[in-house]
Amino acid sequence: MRYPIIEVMAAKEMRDAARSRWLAGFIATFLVLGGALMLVGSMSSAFGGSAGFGRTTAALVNLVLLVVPLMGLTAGALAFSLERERGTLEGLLSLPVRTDELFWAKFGGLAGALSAAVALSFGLLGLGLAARGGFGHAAAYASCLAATLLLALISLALGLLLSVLARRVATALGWALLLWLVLVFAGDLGLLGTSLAVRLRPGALLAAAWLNPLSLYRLLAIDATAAGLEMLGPAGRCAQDILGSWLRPAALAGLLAWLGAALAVALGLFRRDPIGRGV
Amino acid sequence: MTSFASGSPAVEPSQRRFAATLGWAAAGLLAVSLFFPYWQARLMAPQYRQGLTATMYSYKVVGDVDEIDGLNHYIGMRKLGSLARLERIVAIPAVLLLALLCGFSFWRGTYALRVAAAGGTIFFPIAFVVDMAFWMRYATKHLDPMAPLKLKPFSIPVIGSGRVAQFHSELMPLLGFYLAVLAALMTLGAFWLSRVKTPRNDLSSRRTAAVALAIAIMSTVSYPASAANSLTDLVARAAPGAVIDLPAGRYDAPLIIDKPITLRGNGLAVINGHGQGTLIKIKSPGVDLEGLVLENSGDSLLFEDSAVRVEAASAVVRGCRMSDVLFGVFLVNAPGALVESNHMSGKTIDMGRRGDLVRSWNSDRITLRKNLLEGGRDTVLWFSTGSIVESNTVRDGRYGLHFMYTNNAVVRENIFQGNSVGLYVMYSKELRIEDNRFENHRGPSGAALGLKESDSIWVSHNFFLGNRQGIYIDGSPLIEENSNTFTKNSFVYNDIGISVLPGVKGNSFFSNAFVDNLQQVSLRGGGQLRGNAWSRAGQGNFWSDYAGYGAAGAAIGSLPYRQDSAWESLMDRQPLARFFLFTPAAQAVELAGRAFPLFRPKPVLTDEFPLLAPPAGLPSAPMAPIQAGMEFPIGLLFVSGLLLWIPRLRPRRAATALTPQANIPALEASNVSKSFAGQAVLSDLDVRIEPGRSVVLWGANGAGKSTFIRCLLGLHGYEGSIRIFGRDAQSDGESARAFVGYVAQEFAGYHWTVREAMEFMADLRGVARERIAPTLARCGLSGCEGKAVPQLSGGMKQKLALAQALLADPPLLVLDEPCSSLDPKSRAEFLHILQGLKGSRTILMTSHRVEEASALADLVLWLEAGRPARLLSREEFVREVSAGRPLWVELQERGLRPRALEALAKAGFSAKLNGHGIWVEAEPGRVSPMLEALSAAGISVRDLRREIAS
Repeated sequence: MRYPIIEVMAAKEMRDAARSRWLAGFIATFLVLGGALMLVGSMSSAFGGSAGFGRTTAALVNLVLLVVPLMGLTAGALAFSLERERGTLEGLLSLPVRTDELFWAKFGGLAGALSAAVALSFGLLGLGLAARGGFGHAAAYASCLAATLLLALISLALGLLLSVLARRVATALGWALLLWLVLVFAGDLGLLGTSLAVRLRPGALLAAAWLNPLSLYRLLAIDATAAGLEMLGPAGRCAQDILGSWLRPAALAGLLAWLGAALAVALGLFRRDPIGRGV
Repeated sequence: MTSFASGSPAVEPSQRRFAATLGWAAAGLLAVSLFFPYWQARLMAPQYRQGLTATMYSYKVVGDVDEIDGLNHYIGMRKLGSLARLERIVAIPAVLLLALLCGFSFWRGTYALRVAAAGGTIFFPIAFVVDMAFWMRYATKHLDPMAPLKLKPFSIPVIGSGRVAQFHSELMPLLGFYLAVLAALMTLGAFWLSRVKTPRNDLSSRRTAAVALAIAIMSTVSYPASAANSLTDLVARAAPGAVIDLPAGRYDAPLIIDKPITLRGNGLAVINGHGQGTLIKIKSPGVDLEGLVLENSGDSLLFEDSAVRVEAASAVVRGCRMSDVLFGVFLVNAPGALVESNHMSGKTIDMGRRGDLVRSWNSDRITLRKNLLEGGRDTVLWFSTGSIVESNTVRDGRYGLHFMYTNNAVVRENIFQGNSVGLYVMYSKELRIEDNRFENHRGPSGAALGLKESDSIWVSHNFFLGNRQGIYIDGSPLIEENSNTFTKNSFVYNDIGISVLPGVKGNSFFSNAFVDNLQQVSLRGGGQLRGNAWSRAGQGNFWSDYAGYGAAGAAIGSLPYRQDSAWESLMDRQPLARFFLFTPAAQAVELAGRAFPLFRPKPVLTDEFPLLAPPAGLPSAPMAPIQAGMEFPIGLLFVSGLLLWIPRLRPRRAATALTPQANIPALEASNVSKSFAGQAVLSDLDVRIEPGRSVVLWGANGAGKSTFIRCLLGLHGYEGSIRIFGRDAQSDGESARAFVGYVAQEFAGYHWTVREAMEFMADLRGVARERIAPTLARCGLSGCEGKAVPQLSGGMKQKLALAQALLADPPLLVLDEPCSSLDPKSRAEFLHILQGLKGSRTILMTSHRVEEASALADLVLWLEAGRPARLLSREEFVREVSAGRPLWVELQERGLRPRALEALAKAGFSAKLNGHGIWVEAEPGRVSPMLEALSAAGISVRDLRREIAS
């Protein structure tokens, strides 16, 4: 692996991403919605100061769950399919560049752009929160940010996987939206229905969280920002009782496993067929 | 009577008759004893004013057995009915048999029978007591370890009084037992009367033995004398009412104070319990302890090891520091005690094994004020009516404050933090709970304030922040008319603001603020909360999630506040669903409830007069300074800026350029085959191109020209071998491509400027950016650096592609039909540039235009389907493809075709119309004169190509 080559191509990816409308759109969406939530939550801060985990914070977690995976999945889905569709992928591959280098450069560049977007969004929101006196727990905020970055990277990796498989942009974006729906809505709704119908044990419900990176993110974010997981009912208490202080390492390991698996599969497929004769 | 006298000295008949009478009387007593209780145990506790009684017959236990079993369950003791089952079964036949034996043996029985009767009758009451003691010991030593309350094994005296926790036990024999004892005595008398007279033994020796035995017994029950220490001496010497200022130093516990004195330590006198028992016991009214340091009590919950145990009225414990103590201040029957300004910290052991830092038992009108209690178990007030608890801080315990049967008390201005439960009120009434702060009471049963079966509680101006449940209500008020009132409280950031069990009625909530609780009000099990008032006198509560509106200047919303969330209703009914809190799925359920009335649950509560703003004067958390936490988000902005700026920095140049070795073919293909879906496109292609040669790959569409190019670029896998300057294009592709500059059929680029496109290529190929300008100039793009690539014409884009390919000065230039989409002028310009490159490097270009091949090629590699590839010289190629082949010319304006025919005829060319173009008979060397002839006639050519049959 030749890092200067990756560096050059990753810089190109970041430049392109920074110029693209989708990134600016996501940042704007995040900020507008987050800002609105912040204004709504200013009532709470007058009462609770900076201490609380309330509906505002919960809504921010919710916002992240909605926006960040969509951002990562679409960025990833566009990565190779767009290059293929406009013919630039062939040009890049005809250069003295290895497929692995191109893959990691894509991932690195987009990861950098996503990180910048998330950091910018969290920074501006944090400024707003601090200005209204409601931002005092930098460590919790930083933990939440770190978990959000990890979630963004996982979404990106899953998007790359779709992008490697898809030949056309429309196909890749379609699959990305479908996956987003599954991760964000359908998975949880299905699990909710199943758990109530068959009366899943709390331990089993907790274990199911490892099947969805968004659930793991939620556990991490709540653990970092809220006073305790018992707010999640029996399964939350089960998490505290069974995992205790191991919850964060276990959830982090789960997220890293998702990231590693998605990248490994995507890279394997890209190596096998970089030009893409797939879907 | 022979048997009675046989072998024995004579016994007086009167004696014999009396003995028989005594025997039958004993038998009767034994039989009658079955109808009377033998033993009784009473448990006394303040909540059981009449006490609990267990009455034991020889064969059964009666009385308050169920209640006692219920209590025993909490400490893991077995049920009374499960103990001594065998004994109770055999008791009646055994007693009756013994009674018969007594009567018969002294009437007609042998000596052996008399011995058996006397022994059995004497043994019976003893055995009863021993057996009872055994089972009591067994029951109190074998406690269920899974019991809710963990107690160390304890013992209860078989007779007399004892204590277990707050229970006082009294055990005593009853009539049945006395009858059995009397029967034993009578049997003994009967046996003595019917005895065989023997010489008297040495009486003095028996008396000596008896005295020795008595001394021995006495010695076992006498108390060991404890050595008096200096603290005990000090107190012993003090007169009642004295004030003792203890010098600084360390003193040994225990200390018992039995006279009204004041003991001062000024924070320097340390009394150490060395991990044993209670440090100070106050047994006299009017004792003051001030400024003592008390540490290291015992850890026995059974013996209630404490720092200070008060068993008298009007004690004062003030300004003391107690650490590593099981119980802090233990008040037992100590009315009017004042516990003030003390700092107590418990032992660092499991919560279940800790003691209560303050426990008040049956002590009315006590005052707890300004104490700091941390790390204990509970602060409990039992039967302590009229007490005041104010300005204390209680944290990190189980129950910050626990009221049991404690009425008319006041709890105000306290801070409860981080306990499992802040304040739990059970079976109490008429309390005022005001101006307290409850923060972060978490855990499975976490609640800031809990009410269980408590009446007439006034809760106002309290602040509930970040608790699992702000207020938990179970069966309160017990009597609906004894309403509990909650007003002017703030519930902020709690998981649940108020949690209510089903069936709760008679509570009144008004002028409270419910702000940003994850769930404002929860009714366990779901349903509607009826019989509770959510407003009073037109004044409701403030709800931060109220979605109504109000007229300008109005204080009350125009629409009622209804808590009818579908998701919250689901969580109330199915606690497992809480796991999905904050998920978009939960929001979907909520949205479905709002959108479709079918899914909308009935409201848990309705506040008809919701406040539009929180009432004035409600408690709140101190605001954080405005600048709090600014550094971190500013840092984030800096980081994000850095991330976006870094790509604009000039990256390191990637060193991908290689220098080819001399005397190695520029391109060498051996047995190259490639198929798509079983269709062979290339078959065993062999070619060798020496450095510096210009080779055109010639062939019709589908002949495999582009496929070969893609194979050598590593874009397709293939069979055989392609080596570029000795590097295998497949296994060492990136090295092979380092020698290659590639121009595709159509330029595909990004939304960059020409400069940016060139810089990217320069950085990637490790070329100095200074070479960009001359390369662009060489390709006819001078002055175009600032132009956006998408705005370039097709010809300029191809020139840019060529410039990018030439930037690294590659020894092999590969072009895949670069002119196919260019107009003749651009094509001519492009070919001109390529001609200028001839000789400087190896050129491999695909084309199906004869003029391109003839203009550029030294050699032509002719690919034809089904035939081996042929390598021809340019001349051979031209001859082969040009003979008799006309040139097809397309004009810019189709209507000028007749004029063009005339102009061409004048210039000596044979031409004819064909479709929308013209056929012209022109040898390859006469193309330029032909174009000049048309140009002279003012006719522009759009395209021209030589039609060949391949």
